[in-house]
Amino acid sequence: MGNPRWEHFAHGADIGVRGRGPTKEEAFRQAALALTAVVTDPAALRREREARLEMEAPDDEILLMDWLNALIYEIAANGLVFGDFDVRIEGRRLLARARGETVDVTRHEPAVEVKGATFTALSVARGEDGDWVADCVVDV
Amino acid sequence: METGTLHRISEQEWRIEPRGKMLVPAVIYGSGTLVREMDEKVREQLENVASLPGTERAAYAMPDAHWGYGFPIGGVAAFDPERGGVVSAGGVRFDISCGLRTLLTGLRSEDVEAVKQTLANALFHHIPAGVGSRGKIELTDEELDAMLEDGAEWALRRGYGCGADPRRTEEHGRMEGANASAISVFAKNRQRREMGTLGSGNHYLEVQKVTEVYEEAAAAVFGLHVGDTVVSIHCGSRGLGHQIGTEYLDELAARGILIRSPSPRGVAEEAPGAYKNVSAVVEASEKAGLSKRVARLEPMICIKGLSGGAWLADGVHR
Repeated sequence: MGNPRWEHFAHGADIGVRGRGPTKEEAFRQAALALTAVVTDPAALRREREARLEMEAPDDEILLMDWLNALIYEIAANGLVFGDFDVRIEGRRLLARARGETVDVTRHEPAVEVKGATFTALSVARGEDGDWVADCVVDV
Repeated sequence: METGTLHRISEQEWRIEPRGKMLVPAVIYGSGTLVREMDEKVREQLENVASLPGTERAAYAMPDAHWGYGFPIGGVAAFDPERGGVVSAGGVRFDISCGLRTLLTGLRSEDVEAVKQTLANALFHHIPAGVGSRGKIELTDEELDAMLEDGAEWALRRGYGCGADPRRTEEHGRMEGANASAISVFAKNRQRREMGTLGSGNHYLEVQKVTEVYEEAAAAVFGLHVGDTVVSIHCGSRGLGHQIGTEYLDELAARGILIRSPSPRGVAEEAPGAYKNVSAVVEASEKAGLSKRVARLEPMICIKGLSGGAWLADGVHR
């Protein structure tokens, strides 16, 4: 998997998360790391808890939004943050395992609360270099 | 916003007559400076609102209006369901029931000044704010439903308030016809952890002093006098509202109705341009007859959820 291939992109009020990869799965995985990085450092997270997530959407872009929203739900409802993901996409379905731990305010120093993924700048497409790029603005 | 094409009705009121698909006029309130500071997108979005079916009389933009999600933030419109009126997701937005509430403390500001640092620390320790914080309120499923349906009445029953509070709250703190069974278990689960927490982003709690009273009679009704201390809280449903909004958008998508924002600047609720000169907005609102100034409140202590779970600024800012 190599070096992190995620980044945050500027947005006037909120934060854009971007994941890149040779496959759609990898771009989604990197976008999830970018989401975690809005809250805390994904590389510093222990792999103590695992969640299995599964979803289906009418297209790739809504699948990305649903994927990020499912992770936001885990943070908000269960206090879990993830730094390690396995992602499989079969047609319109996404199946994933996310590994991480319960938020520890002292150790993780969580930055901001993410309220949800949005339709803003939502895009899943191949870039000029042929890699997949998954973009979404998250509301903080 | 370019004001050349707007009809200036009065010092604080500007009008766009129906054109294109607009069914009713658009009205913008604000001084020349405030309206010129507004993004052109406010005009575009307001004209779109004026084009929605069932719009009554006009689409209005308040003096602090800025670029929103389809609907300008600070935009106001009424829709008649009998004339094909719509419920606009952009108009309702995600922070359902978000607002400001101000509490009287019965304390004088000099009493607070003397213990400001201690009070700030105590508030910081007692108010859960930010990611990973948890409130002290644990609700069962039944209680969560009761809270959603009964609102302020539920809070009163649980002892979080006093008798006069619902009377001073919009809709008496309870929406008639609220139906908790229409809300998904996911949305309820997000609310469960958020009960009694402040949140982050632009949510805050401020201890403020009354520095000026403009309307003696109205201020007396509110119990406000110069030198009093009040606490103002800006907070809303956050996770619950977002989950509900997202689920409705998913439902629309499943019916083939996709709502997309083409530009990353599409949602600018908290963008720097959204923050205008507060005094100018208040003055324009008063001159346009939208509101009346009663008293001026200045912050003494501010609690916000940010890094490290919460951080605290102790001082005055305007």
